[in-house]
Amino acid sequence: MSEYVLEMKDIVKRFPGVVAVKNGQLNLRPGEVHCLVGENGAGKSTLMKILSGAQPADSGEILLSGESISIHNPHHAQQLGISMIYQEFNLSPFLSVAENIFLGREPRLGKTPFINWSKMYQDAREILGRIRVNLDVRKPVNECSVAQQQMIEIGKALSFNSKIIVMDEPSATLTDHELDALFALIRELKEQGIGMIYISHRLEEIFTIGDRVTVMRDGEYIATKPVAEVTREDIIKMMVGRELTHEFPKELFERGEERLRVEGLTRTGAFQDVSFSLHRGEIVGLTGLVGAGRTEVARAIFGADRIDGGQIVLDGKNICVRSPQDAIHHGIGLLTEDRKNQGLILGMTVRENTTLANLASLVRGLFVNRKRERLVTISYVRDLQIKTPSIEQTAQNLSGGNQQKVVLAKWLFTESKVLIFDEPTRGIDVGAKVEIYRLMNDLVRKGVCILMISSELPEVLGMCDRILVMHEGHLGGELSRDEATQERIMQLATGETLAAMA
Amino acid sequence: MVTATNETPSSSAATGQFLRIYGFLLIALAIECAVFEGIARYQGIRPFLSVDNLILILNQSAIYGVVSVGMTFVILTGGIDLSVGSMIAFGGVVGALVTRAVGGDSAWALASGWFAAMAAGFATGCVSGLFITRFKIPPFIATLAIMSSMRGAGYLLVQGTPVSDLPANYIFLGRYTIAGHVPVGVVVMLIVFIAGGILLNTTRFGREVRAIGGGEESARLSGVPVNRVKLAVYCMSSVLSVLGGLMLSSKLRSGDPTVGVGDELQVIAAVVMGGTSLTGGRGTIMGTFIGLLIIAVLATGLTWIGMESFGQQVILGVVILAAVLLDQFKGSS
Repeated sequence: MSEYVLEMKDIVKRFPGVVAVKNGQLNLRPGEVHCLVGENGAGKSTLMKILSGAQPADSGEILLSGESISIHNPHHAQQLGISMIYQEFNLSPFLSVAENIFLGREPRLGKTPFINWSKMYQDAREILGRIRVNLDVRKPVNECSVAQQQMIEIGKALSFNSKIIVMDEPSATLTDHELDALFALIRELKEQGIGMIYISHRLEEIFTIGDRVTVMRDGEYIATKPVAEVTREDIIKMMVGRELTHEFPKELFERGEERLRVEGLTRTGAFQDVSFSLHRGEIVGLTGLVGAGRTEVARAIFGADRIDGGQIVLDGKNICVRSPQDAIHHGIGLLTEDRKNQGLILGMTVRENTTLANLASLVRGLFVNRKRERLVTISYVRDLQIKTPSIEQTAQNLSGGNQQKVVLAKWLFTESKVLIFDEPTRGIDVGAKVEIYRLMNDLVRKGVCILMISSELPEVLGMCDRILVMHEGHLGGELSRDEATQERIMQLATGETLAAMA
Repeated sequence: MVTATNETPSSSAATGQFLRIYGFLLIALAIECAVFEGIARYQGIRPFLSVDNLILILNQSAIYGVVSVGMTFVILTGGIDLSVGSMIAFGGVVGALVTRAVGGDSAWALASGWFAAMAAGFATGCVSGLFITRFKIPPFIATLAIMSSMRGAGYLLVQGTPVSDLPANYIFLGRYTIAGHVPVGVVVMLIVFIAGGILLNTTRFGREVRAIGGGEESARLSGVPVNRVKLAVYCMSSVLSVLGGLMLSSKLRSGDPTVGVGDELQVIAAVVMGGTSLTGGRGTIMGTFIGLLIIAVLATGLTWIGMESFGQQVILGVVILAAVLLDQFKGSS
């Protein structure tokens, strides 16, 4: 019998154009809480998807209690005793607690197709009893709180006799009180010898509940340490410790007058009291971990989502932004992270995408002036070096980098004063990245101010004049280009205050 | 390949593009005509292909044609309008009632009837559109409800009895001809198709309609007034359905609340046959026109060679499935 209930060795997973996991390593003892940490895109999720059978590994070995196995699909993983609890629960909202726990495995009355309801309710009560959860098993799941739903998921995992439970950001949607209850439950499961992999961005939780911690970075395994032997700073260092080898074509410009200012911007449930300003001549970075509310702030400024409080001031004037139309009218543009569903109309041509946000300027009388439209598009294709066989090519046939340039062309054509880039270089190859950076420089030179949302710290450090860091819906702090380091950003992003750092 | 070409498409290139898009449909239409012509000759009946027959086919498809233009716009946004059949009946009833109420055999009475019917159609379209945009009711449900209500409203207006005793000029839209040959209905249909094509291909509105169907969120985030555009397409569909209803009631010289049942499916069939994607974003007015002709030729041809209507329905179903299937293969290759 092996010391470990689970061992993952040398796991490799490639996606087209990117290696998501280069050498995934993880082992888990019975009754242990093993924390898995890393920045966005470090490969944690991919590694767990491989463990859950959702995606096959390209190479590597998985040992279950010392035996080498291959996991074919999520159902197979469950049968092997591996359960996943994702942030988004897999519960059927209108079915009862008991029905959800036994979905697809309902106890029958003898050999008939009819469900043995009393046995099902009793079994469900018993399972929830094991984790000391007191809940009416006949209640529909949609009437249960988020915390209760999480308990039901855990109960479901137990009903499979799981030896391994993976929890992906279990604390993200819980209140402090509920979190205490979750920790109590985790301790209960430890007693029962269940091994747990605990993924969280909140480092303090690792010290509360974790036994060991494994750090991943850029798809690579960095280290596994007993929690007792590391400090918060050690973990952060391991998370961000990459060398800054990339060359960024950053150009510094003189900081001009203020253009955009937001004051006390609030959207209930997404972010609170966010205030900052953007000046002519600068690129301001907005970073933080996934779920910190960065994209939500951008969408609110752009009018895509309603705000519940706060003000937006552009060039000294209070403006009211109720819709993207308003934002565009005021000269604010948003390059969304999701280019395919929010940035481009994939079935439309390069020409149609380029002019979509400012068609009004091309309308003569009733009709769109096609000739001018073509000329405009051709000039952008030339200026931005968009690689396309013709302006009549549909957007879906372009590479990621060129799609991003088409989105950029669209916003250039609106003559925006403020451009918000949300993860502008995600999924783009290195060459195209540098081109996008250069285009940002050109824009700043022309007086456009840029807010860049990015999870890639080297990019933020390389291109931004100031860096705003968000943590759980609040602006955690601001760093100047000179004082910013990966460690300091990560400290702010995980909830330390500037005062505590000093 | 950094630069894009600057030249205006030459006429031969434009022809090539036209054939690339519509070639498949035109071939299907040609095969269909050839088959009926062959059968007609084999059976020794009158030849199928003739100018008179062509005009007959166009005349029979005029009502569906007018309605299918509006439907194309709705489907291009990713929506659907199930209320068109009821609006055909309702429009005819309102037109007939108002014309008769104004009285006399004057153009004024006729115009009043038309105007009242169109206004009612516009208002109904606004209601559908508001429920779809404001209250986010799925178009299928919203227009299904309107379909039921407006069918009932038509019956209520006339207490179930068709409106007759209409002035002689009431048959203008349905039975008059221009220069002795071309029915007014066909001219109306062609005008609607041409106007629809221009609207879709050359105006900002048309571009925005396709953008919404191609990706509603992208369109919204590009500043397209999504709600306003959607509202407009449902109004348009409703008004054109009423126009179709006026043409039909003129043909019948009666405002009959029972007509048009199931017409929405015929119209959707023509639009889909013409290559418009039900998920929105992709489709053309020209495609709808050819799709309409394929269905009309099929119906007329089958009658011509003596097939009874039940068999025709079976064959129509098969042809629709085949066309959509082929279109999918074409799309995936």
